[in-house]
Amino acid sequence: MANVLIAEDETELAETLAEVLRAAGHVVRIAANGDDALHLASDFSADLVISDWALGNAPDGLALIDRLRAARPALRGILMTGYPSARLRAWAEADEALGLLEKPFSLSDFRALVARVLGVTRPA
Amino acid sequence: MHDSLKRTDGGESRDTLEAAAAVLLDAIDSMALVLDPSGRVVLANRTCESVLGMPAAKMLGRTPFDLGFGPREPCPEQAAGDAQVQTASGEIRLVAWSSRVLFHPDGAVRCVIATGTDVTEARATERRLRESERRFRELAENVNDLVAELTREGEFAYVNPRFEAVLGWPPDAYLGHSVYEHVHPGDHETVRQALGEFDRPGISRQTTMRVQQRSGGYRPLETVARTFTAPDGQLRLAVISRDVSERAAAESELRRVDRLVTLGTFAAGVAHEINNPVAAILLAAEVALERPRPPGADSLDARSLERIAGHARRCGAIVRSMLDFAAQGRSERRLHDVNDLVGQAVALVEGYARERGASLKLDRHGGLPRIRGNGVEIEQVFVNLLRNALESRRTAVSVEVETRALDDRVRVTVRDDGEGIPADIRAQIFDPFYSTKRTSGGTGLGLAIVRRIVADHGGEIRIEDRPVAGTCFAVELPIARAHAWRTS
Repeated sequence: MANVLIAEDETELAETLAEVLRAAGHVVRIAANGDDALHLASDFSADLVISDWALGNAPDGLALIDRLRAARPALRGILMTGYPSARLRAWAEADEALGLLEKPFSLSDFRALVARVLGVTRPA
Repeated sequence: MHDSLKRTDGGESRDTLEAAAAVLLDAIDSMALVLDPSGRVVLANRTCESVLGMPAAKMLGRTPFDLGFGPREPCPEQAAGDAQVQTASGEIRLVAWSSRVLFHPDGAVRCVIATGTDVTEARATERRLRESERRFRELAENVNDLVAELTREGEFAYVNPRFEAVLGWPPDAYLGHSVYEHVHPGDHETVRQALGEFDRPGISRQTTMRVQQRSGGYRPLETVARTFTAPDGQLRLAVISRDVSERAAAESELRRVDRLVTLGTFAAGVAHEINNPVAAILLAAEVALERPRPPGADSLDARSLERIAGHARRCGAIVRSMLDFAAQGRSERRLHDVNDLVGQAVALVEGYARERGASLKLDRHGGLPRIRGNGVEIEQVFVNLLRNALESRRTAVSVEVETRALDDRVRVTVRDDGEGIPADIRAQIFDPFYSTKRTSGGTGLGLAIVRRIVADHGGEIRIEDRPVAGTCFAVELPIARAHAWRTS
């Protein structure tokens, strides 16, 4: 059971993912943009942040995850994107605690990736 | 008139004749000389005096040779030719002479009569004209453009050799024929209009017209025509044409590439936008599929949801293909062993091969020199080729992959014993959006992507003929230069 923060401006998608995560027993909060995500993250003590790459306003999803992890290195991050690139793949491959979901992804891929990164333990 | 003309005996009549001749000779513009049988001047007319600049009296008794313009040998019965004559002022003039020997009834030489015309200027003009003609001819025949002369009605009066070189028809297919016989019917109106406007010298018009080729079809020629007055006073057209088919082809290729680049950018934008809603569709369908169903519920709902999910995944695959195609490939390049990449590609399609009951054989030669490139992209090339090979036949197909080192490159062949690719579409199958598998889910981009990636890596891809049925794709990639240096 983990605290998961979803940063996604497409509310329907965010709700669907939240539903799936809650059904798996996690606690989920949703932020619709980067600023809200930053605020929520500190209150919420997230274990995992799942962010869309194109969040609509700064910071972008990758920068958001990096920033949150700078404050809390134990945080895991999953980046979702509709436009995968070598740069994003390289970012995700650089650390086991990171993952990349290329849209459209299936539920099974989503669950597997969440389980994998949550399985990675780091000193707080 | 001379008194001697009044004499009536034979001697008189001879004198009369000679006197009359002298009068006549003085009146003409040509030079005239009468020589006695020994070749000496007995009479020189007024024109001789004025051209040579000396009085006749000074010429009497001397031969033309003495005077500087005759041949040393006696002339035959009739002779003609040009001779250089030096005038008294020292100037050299050119005189066209014609001479004739007159005989007595008994056959003895009576005299020689020679007439000459000063042709100095005329010859010079002729020479300039010939030179000018030669120059024009050389230019007209050696320029790259098609040069023609047309009458005002549009009939060919002259065509240069480029007509035959470019269009295939010899000159007599044009000379005397109308331009309308050779120009595409669609351009006749343009020609007619232009000819109508050519009513005086100095008018020019330019247009592109399609002209018939002997090998069939029409060639576009950018043509400029200008009117001029011919020596005979007739209005004629000087026409110069340039074959623009190569340029037209290059321009159309440039536009095509431009369109593709724009298309690529557009496709990337569309793809990005579409991925979001498609992701939502897929997830929603899957979530719905996972919901517990009341016993006895209609499985139609489940099937519909599965179809929705399946199509959403397919949208994702299409979008990914488009993005791959639009990608410029400026990605990171590293050294790779092609055998590894081939192995990974095979691993990715193994499951699919099993599903289709296909046999997949791998024949990798060890010790391949490494290539420099983007591993993911090159793997993609092999995956695409393998998938095509596996789908080349509906029933069990046999696919063989072979890797081999050539002196400066690495060669990978993917062979199948499927339906093969007809020779007439081989050039097109690499075109984007060309697909023979639209109904079974092909995107038409697989081979276009393969071609782009191979080209980006400096390699080549070819379809090679096989002695048996089926297809063979051969990909050759250059080995990394650093490696080449190390082995030498």
